[in-house]
Amino acid sequence: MAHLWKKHGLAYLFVAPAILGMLLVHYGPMLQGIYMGFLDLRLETLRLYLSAPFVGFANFQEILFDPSSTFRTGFVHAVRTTLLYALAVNTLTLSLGLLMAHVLNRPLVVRGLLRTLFLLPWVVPSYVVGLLWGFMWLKNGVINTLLVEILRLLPEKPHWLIGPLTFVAIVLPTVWRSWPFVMVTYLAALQSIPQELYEAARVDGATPWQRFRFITWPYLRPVTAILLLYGLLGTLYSFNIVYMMFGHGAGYPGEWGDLLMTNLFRNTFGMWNFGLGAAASTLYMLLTLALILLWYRAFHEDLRAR
Amino acid sequence: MLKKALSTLLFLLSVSFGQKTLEVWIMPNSGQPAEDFKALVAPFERANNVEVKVTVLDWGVAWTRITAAATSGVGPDITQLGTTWVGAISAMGVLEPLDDVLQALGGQQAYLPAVWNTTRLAGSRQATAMPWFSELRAFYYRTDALRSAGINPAQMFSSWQNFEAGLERLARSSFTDPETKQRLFPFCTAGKNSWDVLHNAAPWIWGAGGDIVRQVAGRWQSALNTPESLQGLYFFLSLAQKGLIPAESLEKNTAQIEADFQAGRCATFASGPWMIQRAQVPEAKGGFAERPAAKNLGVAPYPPGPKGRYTFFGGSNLAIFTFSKSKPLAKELLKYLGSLEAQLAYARATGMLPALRAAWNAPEIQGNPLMRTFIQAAQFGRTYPSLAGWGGVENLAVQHLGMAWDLVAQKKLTQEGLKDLMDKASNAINGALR
Repeated sequence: MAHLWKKHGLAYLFVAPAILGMLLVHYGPMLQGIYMGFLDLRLETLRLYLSAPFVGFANFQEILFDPSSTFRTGFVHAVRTTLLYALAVNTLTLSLGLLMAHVLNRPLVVRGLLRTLFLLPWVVPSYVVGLLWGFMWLKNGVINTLLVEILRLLPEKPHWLIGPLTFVAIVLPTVWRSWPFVMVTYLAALQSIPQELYEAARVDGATPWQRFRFITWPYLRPVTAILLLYGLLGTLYSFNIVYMMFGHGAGYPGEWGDLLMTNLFRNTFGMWNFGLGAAASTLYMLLTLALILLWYRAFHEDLRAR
Repeated sequence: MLKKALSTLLFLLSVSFGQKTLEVWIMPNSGQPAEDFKALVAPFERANNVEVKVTVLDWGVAWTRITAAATSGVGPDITQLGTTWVGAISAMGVLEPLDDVLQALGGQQAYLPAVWNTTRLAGSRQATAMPWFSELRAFYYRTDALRSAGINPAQMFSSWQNFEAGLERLARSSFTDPETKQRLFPFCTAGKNSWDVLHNAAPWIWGAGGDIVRQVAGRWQSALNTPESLQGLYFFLSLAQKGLIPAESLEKNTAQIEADFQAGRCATFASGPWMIQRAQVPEAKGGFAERPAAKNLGVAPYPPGPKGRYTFFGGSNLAIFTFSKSKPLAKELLKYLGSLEAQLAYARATGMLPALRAAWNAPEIQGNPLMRTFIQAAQFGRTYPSLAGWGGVENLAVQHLGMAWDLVAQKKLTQEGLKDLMDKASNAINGALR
């Protein structure tokens, strides 16, 4: 032990502030949040805070098994929409990012300029994205003007912020904001692939698809794994865009716009059910951990250092 | 230079000799909320050798900040509360009783019953909040548009049937706004993407004899699915299905609808008294005085429904936290803010109505014909019950009304569909009230 301390003591000293910070601002509140899920913490008991009556698993039981619970209002729709949203956003983001990385991975004169321009949406904060696209999706907004009056792609102006099309209205801004980061990451990965491999493949008569399938893709799998993990976490915990687009949280985004996080926010802070809200957050965290476990099983080979 | 040095010295001396401070949280009630409030309390500060520190909370975060203060016991001496919040915060047992303050201001008869109801948790004998200013809704209309369509405003706003007939005439009218050269929409109102979804629907529900919640055998329960509530709601929502409310306004929020009216796109819309003030303020300062909408502005109360004429009555109250260390002084500040002069001064700054009934007789209010109509509309004002769990009720009502607006936008709303939604809303609300 003393030997280890002598060898790595300085390193431990350097990481100590970070660990302390994590304990204070991350794990402490997280444990407190989990504990709150076991309390009857409502408006009437809010003053008691962590001394509110301990109710064991009652909150978890209500969320999972009580169909009459007010906490489950709109819950099924929110689960469905969130899963479809995660699927749509990640599929589109990864595909578009990969495609554009390929386009930019060639000796273009304006590559640097294009890369900077493409990256711009990524630096816009997500709540601003929600606010701006909220204006653009209006019936007489710029998107309908473009689609109907200029390009004449649609016969009449649809409602994007009401009804089933709401789903499109939340997916596209998320993709618009997310794909540049994916593109830059893929571009960096593509540029690290040794060119000799492609040259050898060409000599052997490999088609472009075969070169992608057997050279490019194996190199991109680890990067894809990380991007998918970030994408999944980002979309499952997505909140800002929907919150800002539909009345800044005051209204209801509708069954095709309401996500798990906006549903959780409304049912917790709107209903003043903090114990139930904390229990639901814990359940979401477990669900996300399960998904990460699946992700790890699918990609753990790719994550090993080579 | 010398003057500045002397004032700094005086300030330091006053601090060192124990000048008292009072901390107040308010929301952005006026164009320059902190400055306007400081100007309002300046005479009180001088008279009592006290510094009033004001913090402006955005409405979006105010609830969280106030409940956090209530929970932790760390917060201001005085806080502003939306009238629908009084029940909830009072139920937490963190508000100082204010019966003596209200008595000093004239007691129950100094306020409208609708305003008096917001001073306490429903059923409580103890007042915990002092009415500060009132917000109520009335209809604004374009006098030029109605004149051109041959509509008498008094006739149009005399019943639901006449209101709808008036909107139909406006829809057929070829009148165009002199500035935009565009025809006007008959009636603009926000759909579901707004903070006041329930406030917009409530007058129609009440007008048909319905209610949001009502007491049955001593217990509060949802009344959204009663035949009367459904009748009122269906009348309001079907105006959109009939094309009298434009489809594009259904996805907008209230601020956008106000902007549409100011820009000359709407013939009628419902809003609060602040529009009268804005109509007198130039665009450079946040008003719309130069626009035709301001030069041709008319006000009318909501049209009466089959069971009466009602309008939503809200606003804000002030309350003192029990953990305040300067309660007597805080009560004095409340008495000052509730006095006739301070009520009128703050109404001037905010464009809201004073909460004190005596202030309504002031020449500056009675001398403004539009404001006078608002005062008349106030007698039809109705508030939500001051329940501890009102937040949950409103949240669930808004969610289900949002679903109804979704159906309206798709032109799929039927009476059966509306009943089904309101049955679901009522089940959820009854669950929350249990």
